[in-house]
Amino acid sequence: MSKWGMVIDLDRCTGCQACVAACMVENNVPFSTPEIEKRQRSISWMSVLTVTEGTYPDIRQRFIPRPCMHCENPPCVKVCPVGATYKNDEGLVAQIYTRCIGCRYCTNNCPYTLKYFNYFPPHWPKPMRKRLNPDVSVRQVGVVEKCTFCHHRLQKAKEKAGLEKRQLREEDYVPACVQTCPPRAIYFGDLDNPKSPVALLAKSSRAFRLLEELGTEPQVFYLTEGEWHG
Amino acid sequence: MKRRDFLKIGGGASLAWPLSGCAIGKLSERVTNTTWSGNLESWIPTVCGACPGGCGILVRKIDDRVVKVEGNPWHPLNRDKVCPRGQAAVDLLYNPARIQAPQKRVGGRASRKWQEITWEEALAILSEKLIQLRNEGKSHTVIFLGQLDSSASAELLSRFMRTYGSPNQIQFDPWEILENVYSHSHGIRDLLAFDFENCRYILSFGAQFLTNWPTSLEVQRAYGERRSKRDLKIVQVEPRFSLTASRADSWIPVRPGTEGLLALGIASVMVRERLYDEEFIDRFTSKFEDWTDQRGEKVEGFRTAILRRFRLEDISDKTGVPLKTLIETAKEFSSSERALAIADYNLFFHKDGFFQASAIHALNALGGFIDKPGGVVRQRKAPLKALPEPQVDEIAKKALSQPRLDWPVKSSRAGTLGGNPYEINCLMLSPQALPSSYPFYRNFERVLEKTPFVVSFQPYQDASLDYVDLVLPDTTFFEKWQMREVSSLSMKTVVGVGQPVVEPLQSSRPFEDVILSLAKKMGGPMASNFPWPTHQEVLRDQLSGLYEAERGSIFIPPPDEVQLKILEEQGWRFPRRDSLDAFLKDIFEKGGWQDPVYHFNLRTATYQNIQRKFEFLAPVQDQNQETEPEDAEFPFQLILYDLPFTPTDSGGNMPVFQQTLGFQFESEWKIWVEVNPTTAEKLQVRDRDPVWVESPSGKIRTVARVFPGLAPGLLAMPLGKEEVFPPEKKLSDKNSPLRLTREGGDLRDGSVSQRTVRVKIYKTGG
Repeated sequence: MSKWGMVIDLDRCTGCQACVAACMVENNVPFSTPEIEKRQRSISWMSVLTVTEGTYPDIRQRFIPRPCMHCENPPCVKVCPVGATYKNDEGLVAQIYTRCIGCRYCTNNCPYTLKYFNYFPPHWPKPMRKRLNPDVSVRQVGVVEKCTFCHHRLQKAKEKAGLEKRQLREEDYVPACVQTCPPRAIYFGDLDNPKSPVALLAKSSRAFRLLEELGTEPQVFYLTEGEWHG
Repeated sequence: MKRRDFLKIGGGASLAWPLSGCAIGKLSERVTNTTWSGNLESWIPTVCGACPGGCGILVRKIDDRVVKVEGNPWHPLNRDKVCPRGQAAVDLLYNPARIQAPQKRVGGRASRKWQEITWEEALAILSEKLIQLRNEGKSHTVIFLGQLDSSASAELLSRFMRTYGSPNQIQFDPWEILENVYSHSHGIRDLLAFDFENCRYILSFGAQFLTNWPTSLEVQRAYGERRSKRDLKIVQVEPRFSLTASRADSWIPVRPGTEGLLALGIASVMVRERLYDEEFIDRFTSKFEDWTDQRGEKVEGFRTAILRRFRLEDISDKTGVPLKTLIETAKEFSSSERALAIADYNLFFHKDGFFQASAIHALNALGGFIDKPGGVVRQRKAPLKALPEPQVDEIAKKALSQPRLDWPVKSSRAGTLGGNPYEINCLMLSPQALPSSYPFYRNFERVLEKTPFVVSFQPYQDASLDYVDLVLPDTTFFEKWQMREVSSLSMKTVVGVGQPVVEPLQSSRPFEDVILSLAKKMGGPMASNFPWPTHQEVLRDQLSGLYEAERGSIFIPPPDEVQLKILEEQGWRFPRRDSLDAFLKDIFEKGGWQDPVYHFNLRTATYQNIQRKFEFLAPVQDQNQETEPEDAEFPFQLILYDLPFTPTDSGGNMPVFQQTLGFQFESEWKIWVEVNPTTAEKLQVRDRDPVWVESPSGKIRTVARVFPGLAPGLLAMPLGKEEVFPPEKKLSDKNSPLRLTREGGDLRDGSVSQRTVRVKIYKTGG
């Protein structure tokens, strides 16, 4: 079985937001409105965190794209009273929307705050609904959602490989954010395959994970930025 | 069969949105899957039209609807990558603000009543009007205003305007500032390209090359690769710490409007310490040393002028850059083997932008970084077949000799409002919206008001609609035949083509086809100059040039490194197609044509002036009087800057894109003003406090964001941010930071700068 993981090279990331936009369109995430923003209830499975350090004129800014960390030891799964979120055998933290009762325990227990509760019914102006992706269900009000590593793409890739009577190859499955990233800052693949670029990069000396000390063992690795020449 | 979450929403959903309102539906509506469909997936290659870049895309279709845009891996500009604008572009197609059919205003402009008419009627109204004006000898009073990103469409339109007899095809293109510089120094009226892929040192003077260029995706790919190899250094010179500055290795803050002066300082160090490339200066440049003009008088060359007129200490004082930094930068730049000094369209908004841009480009000549790998290069144009020369009759010739009206785009002196040099009788608005940073919108509003007949080709309801009499709605790029050469800013020779991905929605019609039918309807010389039944036929003629050319090929899968090496050693060989039809079929299936061969050291391509040399422009002393005088009442200088990917237009019709724009300040919809922490403390303003920003021209209410990325005396506000979706339907949007700029002035003679303005800031009362 594969263990899907991601490596994000912060040195390459330009903070351009292509991953964020790609994710929203691919996964039928409704765009926010000023009203929703005011209540801080926008949903964005992939979001870029901006960290500004220093004082004028010696300042530095980092951009950290954050999808769901798909932890090996996910805190959200432990608190779900109905088994709506679970760790599947391919390393993905999966979500069953129809089982979710909207208790929001998982959103509170995610140390990365990357689980989102649908406070409002999802909304698009009527003509825009034509562009919704049929591979991804629209989440109703009252359930929790998050990044799935575009799990539906894995399903499709498996079906395709099956039809072609061959094994699934690593490069068959690419999440939307990885596919679009203009500077190629995001790598994706099987962490269990020692030859895979992600497995190699995850072992690099530049690799780190967010809030590692909590023991959640995220499957999203970051590569630190290089020397600051300022 | 297992249960699947299909999500097909009302196949026959009505798209009939009334023209007058496009309010978002009730929040309580449930979005569910109600119908079953075949869910047949297809991928169609075309060219992205969300900005002028012309990236290749693959459009994912499920049955007959478009659901996603991905990059075309075979397109050499962007490969399989797409920017956030492109990703959000699907919303351009299924947009509630789209105008679905031609509309005619009834009962005068005040009534705001519209009547849907047929295309036949709409074309009849417009052609009658145009014929009448032409017969009266007033064809020059017809103006076409606005951009057309696609080179093919622009060519078709200029043919139309020329045959009809109007010199007034007017657009607002700030990149022309660089075209003017290259025209002087290289004799080329076009943009030059930069070889980012092979460059090792980028000295950027406020250029937002990672996000705001038509070729940004190409630059980003090069950036990613070089970053991983750790052999690229970027130095960003600009007053505000931009997204590009944050990706640079070092940021040199300068006083607003002194970027060019710093470039002169660097040039001065290079000249003084003989750090320039002597061989290059000798062989490829002129006017570096003193020279004698036609009358036999001695004229100062670049070297003497710079040594005599500028003191490094003065430059350091004026720019606010320490002398040490200046000298170090000059040494670093000149000692690099592959360096680039780059400026961009931003300088257009400076009073002395031309001189600044000249000074910056002169650094490339001093370093000898022209026509070399990793340097300034020039795109080789694709061998598209030119359309046959149009027959211009006497009426048109006479009208074409009339002076061109360059206002409303470059000046607020709306001479024409008083009929000087002549009245405007008809204004045609381009299908593309005006840039969000369009500087003279107030003037524009008045012109629209005064013009007796305004026609719009815009596909969306927007602010200008209040002044329009007839609407002939264009389609989006998903619904038309397209051909786009990539911008001259890329050194790659690429022609992207696209077929309609879906049928035009309701009864909108591609602008290009409308121009063809209009010409036909007008009869006479107009009809005979436009013999093609559809735009597709025009493209066929133009593309036949590629078929006949003995170079280049239809897109092929990108070769890997080994293949590339073999190809470069043995020469590229491409398969030929048997017939033009086979060629056309193939080119539309693959998405375009490219010529991967690029030869450096082609002097005739890089220098087209008589001497075939780079011509230096001696700097003048009185330049850089940009900084407006100190003012006790308005103590701060406000910088207006373009947000990433918004210089062409705000992308207000793409909510997904707009929501992501303010990410540096965690703002999804609200506009903000950036305040230095020291200033904030002095003013007792905290982060996210509501404030007023007031200039002599107006004031706007906004939110303060404390940000160390600018000097204490400066404030900064973004342009290109819409605060709601759909965008406000007001031309003079009350919250646009452009309201703060001065109304008077003229960009041509440098009497106004549109990107800095003196303001005061204070907390709101409650």
